[in-house]
Amino acid sequence: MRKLPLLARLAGYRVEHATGRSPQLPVNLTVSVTYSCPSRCATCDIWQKKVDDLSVDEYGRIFPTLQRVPVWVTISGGDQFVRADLDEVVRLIRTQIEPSIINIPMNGVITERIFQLLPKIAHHSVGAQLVLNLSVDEIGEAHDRIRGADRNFEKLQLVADLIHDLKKTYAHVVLGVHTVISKLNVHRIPDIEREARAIFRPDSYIAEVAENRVELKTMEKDITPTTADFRRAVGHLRNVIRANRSSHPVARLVESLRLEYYELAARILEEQRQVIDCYAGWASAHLAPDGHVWGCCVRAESLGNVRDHGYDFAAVWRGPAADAFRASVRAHACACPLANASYTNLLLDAPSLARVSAHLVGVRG
Amino acid sequence: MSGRGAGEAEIGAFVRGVADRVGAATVLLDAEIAGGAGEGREVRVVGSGGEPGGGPFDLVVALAPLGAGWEVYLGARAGLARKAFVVVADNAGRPGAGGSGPDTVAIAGVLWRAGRVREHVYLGVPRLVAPGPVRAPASRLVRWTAPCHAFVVDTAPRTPQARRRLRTVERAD
Repeated sequence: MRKLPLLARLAGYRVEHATGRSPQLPVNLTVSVTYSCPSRCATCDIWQKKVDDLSVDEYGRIFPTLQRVPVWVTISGGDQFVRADLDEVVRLIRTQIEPSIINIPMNGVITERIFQLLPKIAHHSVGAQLVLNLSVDEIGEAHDRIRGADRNFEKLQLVADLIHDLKKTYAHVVLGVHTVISKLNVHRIPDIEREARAIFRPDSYIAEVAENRVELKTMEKDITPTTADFRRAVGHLRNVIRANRSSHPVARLVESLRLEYYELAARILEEQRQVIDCYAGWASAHLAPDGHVWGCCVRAESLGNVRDHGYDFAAVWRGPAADAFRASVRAHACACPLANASYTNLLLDAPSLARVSAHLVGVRG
Repeated sequence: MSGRGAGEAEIGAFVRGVADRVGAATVLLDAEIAGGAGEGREVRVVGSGGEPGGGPFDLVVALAPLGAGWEVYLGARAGLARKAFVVVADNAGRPGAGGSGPDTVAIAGVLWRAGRVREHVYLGVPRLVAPGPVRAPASRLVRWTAPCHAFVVDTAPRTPQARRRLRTVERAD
């Protein structure tokens, strides 16, 4: 199936959200390939979860059932580089889903595996934009303490150097830096942002609030900063974006979304409600390492497991559990600032989309 | 060797710079390069794409046009490089350069298997566009006007773990 123009697809989601009609497949898909992780982050206990990860062969049966609809695929973990076959998963995503953007958040811990696989991943992903987002939560040893990984910051610099080398021959590679804003670093965000930009020279710098997520086993952790502190931190980030607009098209799109997202996230934390309609379960979805399909990773409620449905993602997506999840989201039973879902939510909210477009072309500062 | 649109002197200077940076004592060249690229070093020159015999060499320079079988040729040449491998190729990304060999991505796929591509430089860029060689990532204007480009591959083990493994193997031998 050929890809529908994105705007037509988005219009379809709005109709389905309003009417309860059977949904299209999602344009925004997160594929978690493992929960295993060598880091012991203060903001994440996902490493404690042990499941039977989907194999490359199983992915090869699942991805065609997405009918090439997703345009933005995030490959998350755990630490994805625990898997020696990660390059094969990327190759399948590129050839069977054909997204426009493949996004890989990276902790940079298993350097030898990263050095082996990243050139292959860059090669396999030609035709899409490959966004490699390094997780940087502090600078130097303070980062290592938050992430619970010795010499992690030093290793991140090696990985950043490798990515800069990859950019010399693979023009589709984009280097990002990503910070989780928690109680542990919220007062240092301006310094972290400035130093991270100087050290890693990323195409884009983004941040997300640490929150209680079922997926991360952080429901009991006191990690979310106060709304006032968060607003101050993202206020700085918005000013920096306005002052340093990227010329790289994908980085500029990310910045434009971020300008709106930071304000949206702050409002959601303050008001504890869906400030704009959430389309998790319509436009965005999450495939867990063991085959469960979620509407989002914050609730991490299984809509069904592809292993029980002949590896047919669409069958799960259109099943009764998925309908129940969507009804709950439509009723505003939940609210969260999850960045990934928020991106598509912003594109589906007309005023927000207009502002993002204005940021993109430079009409708004 | 010429006919790539970049002057031999520019290519020679580029190769000489790489040889200096990596401290190459032995060099394998596909052809003699004007400007004394191998100056002060033990240099073996073979005909375009010819079989050099012997090796390895600290620096191997591939200058032959990348025609049929270019992947095998580059792979074999890279295998002879102890420290660095340089490839100078026609810029197939230039409009109107159709059929003049593999593009950057295709070459990169082979070179990243041989080692770590440290440099990618556009040569012969028109003076109106840039005063000399331009390093990638480069602007579209550079990519569209440069007649040829060069790659420098670090063929030494690329991680501390890999270096340790190599030392272990050498001891076992």
